[in-house]
Amino acid sequence: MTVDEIKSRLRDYVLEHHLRGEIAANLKDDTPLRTSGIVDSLGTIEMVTFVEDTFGIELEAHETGVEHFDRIEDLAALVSGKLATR
Amino acid sequence: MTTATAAAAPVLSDVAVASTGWSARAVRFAAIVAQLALLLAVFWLFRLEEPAFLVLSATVFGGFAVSYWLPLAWKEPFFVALCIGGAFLLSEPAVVLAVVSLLTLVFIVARMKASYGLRVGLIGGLLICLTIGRQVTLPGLPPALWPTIGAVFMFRLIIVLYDLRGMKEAPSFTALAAYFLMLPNFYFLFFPVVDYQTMRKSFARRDVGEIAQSGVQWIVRGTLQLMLYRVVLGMKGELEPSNITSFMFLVKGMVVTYMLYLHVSGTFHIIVGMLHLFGYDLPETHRRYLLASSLTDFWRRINIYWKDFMMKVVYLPVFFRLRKSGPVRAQLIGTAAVFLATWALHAYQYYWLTGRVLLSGPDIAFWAILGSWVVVNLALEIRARERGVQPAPGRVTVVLKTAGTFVAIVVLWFMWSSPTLSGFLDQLTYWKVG
Repeated sequence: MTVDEIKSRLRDYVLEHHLRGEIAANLKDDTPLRTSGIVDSLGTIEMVTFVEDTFGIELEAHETGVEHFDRIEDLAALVSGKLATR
Repeated sequence: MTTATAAAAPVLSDVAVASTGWSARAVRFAAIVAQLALLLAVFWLFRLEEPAFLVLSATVFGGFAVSYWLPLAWKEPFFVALCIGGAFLLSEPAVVLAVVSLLTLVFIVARMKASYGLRVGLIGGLLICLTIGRQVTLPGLPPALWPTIGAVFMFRLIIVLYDLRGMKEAPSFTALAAYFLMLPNFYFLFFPVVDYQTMRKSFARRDVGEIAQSGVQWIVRGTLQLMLYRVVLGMKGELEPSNITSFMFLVKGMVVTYMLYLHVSGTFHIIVGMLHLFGYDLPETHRRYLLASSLTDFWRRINIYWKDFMMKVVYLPVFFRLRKSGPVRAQLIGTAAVFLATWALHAYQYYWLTGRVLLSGPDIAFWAILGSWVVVNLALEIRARERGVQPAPGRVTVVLKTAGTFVAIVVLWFMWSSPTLSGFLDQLTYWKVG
C-alpha cells in the first residue's frame, strides 16, 4: 500500500468521523488534528482502533502522541513504516 | 522527534523563507516590530506585571529583531544563547549556573550509549534527588534556586524521559537547551507544561514570519486577559468572605474567584506568543474555556498542555495496558488515573514552588468531584457514540449546557479556592454565619 493510499483512507476516516459536513479539500495532510481539538482523547482511541484494524498493525502507547497523531502525513508515515517492516 | 527529523525541518523552511522576497520580509518585519513596540509601551504604561517582566519582554522582542534575519539553521542556537544570556538578567547567576549544569547532566545521560531503562533510571534518580534536595535551605542559597529548578525540570524532565523511549537518535544539546531553558520560564515560574515532541515538530513548520505574527496575536490576547485580570483583582478586594451578606454578593464573589484564572491563561498566552517569535509554532494553551458546554469539554479546553501531558504519560499508557480487558473499561480507568495523577502532580508542583506539601480538603474534593464527573460524562459520550450518529444539539440546548457548566465550574472553583471545606460551606450558608 502506498503512502498516498494510506493518506486517502485516513482522510476519509477523519472526514467521516471528526469533520462531518466539512469540505474535503479543507482537510490537508498537514492540518493539525489533535492540537487543534478536532480529535479529542476519545477520538484518538477510536483512531488507534481504526488504524490497527484497517492496516493490520499494532501500535504502542508511545506511538500515539502528537508526533504521529496530529497530522495525516505523520500518521501515514508511521503506518507506512510499520507496514514496511512487517 | 529525532535529531534527524529536526535537521530536516530547517531545509524545507529555508525554501519557504527564500520564496518570500526580501522586501516583503522587511515589510513584515517592520509591521511585527511596530506591534511589539506598542505592546512594550502598554506593558510599561499599565505596569502589567513586575518590573522584571519589562526586562523579559525587551530581551525577547530585541532577540526577535536579530533572530528574524538569521538563516534558519542559526535561529535555534541563537535562541538558546539569548535564553542563557537573558536568564542572567532575570535570575541570580548561581541560579542560572545551577540550571545550566543540571541540563548538561541530563544531556550527558540522554546521549549515553546505554539502555533506555538505565538512562531513565539515572535521570529519574536525578529528579528524585532534586525533589528531596528541595528541602535544603543553606545560608547564602538564593531563594529563587529551588523554585526555578522546579519550574524548569519538574515536569519537562518527565516528558523527556517518556519521549526518550521513542527517539531513534538522542537529542542534541541545542534541542534540549531550547526546551528546558526557555527564557520566559525564568520570570514565569508557573509555566505551561510544553510537550517536547510538539515543540520540536513545530519549529519552523511554516514561514517563520507568519509564525511570529501569530505570536504577536497570542501576546495581545494574553495582554488583554492580564488587563481584565487587573479589573477582576480590584473587585476581589471588596469581596472578602467575611463581607458576604447577600446571595448576589456570594454569586459575585464566586464568579470573581473563577475569573482570577485569567492571570494563568493570560500569562500562558504571552509565554507561547513569545516562543512563536523564534519559530516555535506551538498550539493554543486555552480554547475559550468560559464557553465549555460540559465538564469534559471544560477539561479539554482549559490548560490544554496539561491535558495533553496527562494524556501522553497517563491516559494512553493505562489504556494500552488495559485495553485487552475491554476498551471502554480501559478508557474509564485511564481517565480516573489522569485525575488522580493531576491531583498528585499539582501537590508536587506546589511543593516545588513553595517547599510545602499541599494536602487540603478542598483540593482533594475538587479533583475527586471533577474527575468523577468527567468519568461519568465520558461513559455517556462513549455510549452515545456507540449508538451512532446523534443529531447536533439545538442552539438553546447548547446555551443551557454552557450556562450550566459555567455555574458548576464557578461553584467548584470557589470551593477549590477556599482554605477549608468548612470555610466553603460557611460562605455558602452566609445567613447562618451572619
